[in-house]
Amino acid sequence: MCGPTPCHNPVNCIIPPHMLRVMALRGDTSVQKMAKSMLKQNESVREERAEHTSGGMVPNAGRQGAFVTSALAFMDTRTHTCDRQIYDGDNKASLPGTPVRTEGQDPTGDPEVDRAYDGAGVVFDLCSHEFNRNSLDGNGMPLKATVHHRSKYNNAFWNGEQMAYGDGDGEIFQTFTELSVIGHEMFHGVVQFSGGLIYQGQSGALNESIADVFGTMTVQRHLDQDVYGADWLVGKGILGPNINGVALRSMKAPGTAYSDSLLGQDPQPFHMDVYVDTTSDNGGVHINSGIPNHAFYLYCMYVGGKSWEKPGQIWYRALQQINNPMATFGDWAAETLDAAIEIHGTGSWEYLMLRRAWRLVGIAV
Amino acid sequence: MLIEIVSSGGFGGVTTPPKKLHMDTAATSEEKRQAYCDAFDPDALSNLSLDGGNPNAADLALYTISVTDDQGQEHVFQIQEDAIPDELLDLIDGM
Repeated sequence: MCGPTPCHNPVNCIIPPHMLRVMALRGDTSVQKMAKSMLKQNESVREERAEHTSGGMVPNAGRQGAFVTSALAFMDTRTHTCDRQIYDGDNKASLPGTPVRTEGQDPTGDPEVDRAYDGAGVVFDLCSHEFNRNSLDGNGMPLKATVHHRSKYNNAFWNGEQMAYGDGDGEIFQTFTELSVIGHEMFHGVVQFSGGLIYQGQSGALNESIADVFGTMTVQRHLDQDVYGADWLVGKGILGPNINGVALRSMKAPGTAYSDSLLGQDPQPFHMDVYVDTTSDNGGVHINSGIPNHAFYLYCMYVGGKSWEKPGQIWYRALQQINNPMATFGDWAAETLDAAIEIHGTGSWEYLMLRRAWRLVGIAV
Repeated sequence: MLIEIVSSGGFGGVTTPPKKLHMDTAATSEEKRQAYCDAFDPDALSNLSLDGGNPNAADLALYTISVTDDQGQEHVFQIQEDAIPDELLDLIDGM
């Protein structure tokens, strides 16, 4: 099992890497530390193994049980309480920074602070009213966000506990407190508290795609747009004034959001035939997310109405039930079809159209 | 000591052009030189590179830090953003 060299850590040999990754994702602090340490120790072994396997991914043959968060225990949305906590990072790296606006307080006049506050409320409302979910963890977790994070910082992120938004350098990016970005970052939290998807390869691209799907859904619901009236853009308006582009990503037409001398061409594919194999960007998590993004868009075009209605309910249910942090695109597509069957029935029009949408992006399920 | 830093990734993925920084500590004041040499000590960076960061985090940047010491030996480390101490990130932002 351990090869010709003596094994000094029997646990290290017994626990396969994919289990260690799940433990690193889902365990408490001590378990995470142990799992990460083992993964590091095993790095050379894993690299060797990776040459002989399909990138550490395991096939999910059918349903393996549901990961149901405590969100489902809260049946009455009146019990849901929004608790927003916005901090000013003062252009430093320390998190969370200085508290500047908490739940119920008046606007501060700082557009970044107030957009982060308002946007968090819009996302909370989507979770509560459409998915009966009490905050990101389903248990009323405070919505903590830091604006003005670091200096001329061209990024926004979810760090496992809170959101952080940079101001941008004014050239490439000019803000990150745009509603689809806020929704995107907050739904990384929802993914985390729904069992998680490992941030590498296809499972990482699914993590990104789900964040994009619910990020754009947040905007559409806020504007009360139907699927035909929406622009399906992620990060609209965040690019610098001289950048030739409309947004960071397009779910309607992946690969067309921008084309610029500084940024190059939007690299997102829309079909498995042009799936990008790369080691950068955690295995292309922000690139190949274009494929499941486009499947969601196509499905919305088939069923019409509002994205948070039939399509959103299917995607959300699939997220609660998948229980596979290393899910491939095929695993995810199958889970959405199972969710469609549960909601609309076997052989239903909603099921058939969803299957067609997945096939149109090259995922035959 | 020569220090080169390339940050990549984040919310924009490959969209965001890598940010490249270059610093020759010999060209700085004695005070700054000591601060940089302490902050970018290869042993310390090596320890940081062993911390994979929070596996539940998303959209964080990846830093590739190259340090060429006074003996001419190059040390290269890849470190996830949340594994880098706040003080070092502030120092990088100020470079």
